[in-house]
Amino acid sequence: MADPASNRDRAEGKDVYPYPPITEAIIEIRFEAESSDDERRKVSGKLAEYYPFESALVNQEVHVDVDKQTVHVKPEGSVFRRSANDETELAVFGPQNFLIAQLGNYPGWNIFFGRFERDWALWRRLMQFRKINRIGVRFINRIDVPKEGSTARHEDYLNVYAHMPVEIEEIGAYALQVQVPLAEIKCVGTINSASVPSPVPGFASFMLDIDIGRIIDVPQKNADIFTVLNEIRGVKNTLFESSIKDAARERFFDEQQLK
Amino acid sequence: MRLAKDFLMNNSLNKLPALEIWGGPQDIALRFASSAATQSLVRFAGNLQNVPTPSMLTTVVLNENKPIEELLYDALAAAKIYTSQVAMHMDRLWRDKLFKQLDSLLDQEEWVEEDVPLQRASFATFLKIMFLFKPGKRPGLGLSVTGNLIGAWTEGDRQLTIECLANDVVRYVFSHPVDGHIERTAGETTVPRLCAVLAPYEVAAWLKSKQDH
Repeated sequence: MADPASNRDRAEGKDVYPYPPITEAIIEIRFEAESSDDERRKVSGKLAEYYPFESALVNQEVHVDVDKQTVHVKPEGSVFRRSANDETELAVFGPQNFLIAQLGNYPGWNIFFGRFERDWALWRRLMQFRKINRIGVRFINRIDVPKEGSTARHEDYLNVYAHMPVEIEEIGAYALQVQVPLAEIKCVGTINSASVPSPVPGFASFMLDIDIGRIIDVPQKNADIFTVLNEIRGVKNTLFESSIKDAARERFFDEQQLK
Repeated sequence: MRLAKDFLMNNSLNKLPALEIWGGPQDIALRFASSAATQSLVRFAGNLQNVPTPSMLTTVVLNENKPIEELLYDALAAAKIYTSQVAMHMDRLWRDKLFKQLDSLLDQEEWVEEDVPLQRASFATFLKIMFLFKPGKRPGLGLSVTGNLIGAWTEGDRQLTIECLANDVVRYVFSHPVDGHIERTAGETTVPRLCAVLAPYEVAAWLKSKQDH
């Protein structure tokens, strides 16, 4: 195994690990007021060049009165979801949300953020000013580690996990959530850590989901929004690096890939 | 001093998401014998394992008679999204070639109306086999009438065909020349057992040694 600092050093200076464990990255802007279906449909249509496929997901609130045996259906705003040819680049427009997402392989922040800037510019041009009440970044990672026999020691790979008393020698699954005040960037971070079924034979998998959002002093101008998002990204990286151990980083350099 | 306990990952537990059973639809005690506050707490805890994300936003099937182009798109999209979840285990080029094979397999122009599009659970089993063998040459792909993915490798008289079913179940046929005859063996097993079942025929080494051209 490499020395504790080496893998972190290897990743420094690069935008991404060679094989990052990111399964989903999201940048989201939330608005105070709702936009109309027609407005969102228009924006969605303008992005067809980059995202050829569109799904309109119709939301309906259904109230069932068992005593009177009646059902009331109240239409709610549709969500427009656009995706690129390989389905890994997504743009989603909800009544109060604008978000872009990147599934694996994650191409690095510069490319991901560049896509956000491009799509956000179009949104702003078509939708004009809308008061923003939250901006946030979320990265979902799944760390796959080889099992030793039938077990995997999550404490060898993670710093955020369920700590158990000595009387409990084995656990079958865990899930935990912690919220972290991040005063320096006026944000709140949410970290989810959980065991999940592994898609790879002979491996165990752990999810590390980091969400950071800002709801106070939310920037409204593009330049300020971009600055805050980049600050959030920096803190997200710090949280991620401090939540894992070097044995986990070793996995992100693994050359044993399907080639 | 140990900081935490070993994480048990035996096969039976791996197939049973423990937190889904607890508080799930089968948890009668929770539904009928607990307070609203307790139920709320359990829902909150359950949501920790199931936080919705954009990739989970998919079209709800309200009409089973969807046009075939929509069914094909849904099947293709599901396979590509699933691939994105394991993309850290494959080279970009390998992924791109796989997507080309899938595009071709689910091509609307070539599609026979009665066929069933690729099933996501079958595709997940297929990728597990790829991770297991890490074959030097990718298989030719086909679909069964029930939408199961079939992978096949052929070299001279030697051939391996694997049908990938849901839940890690596979059906295989292996044929190879022995003393002037073609010997065939076939069976049904699970992904974790596949290597052991095919070990007498040195299939793993054969697949690894083949090269994509």
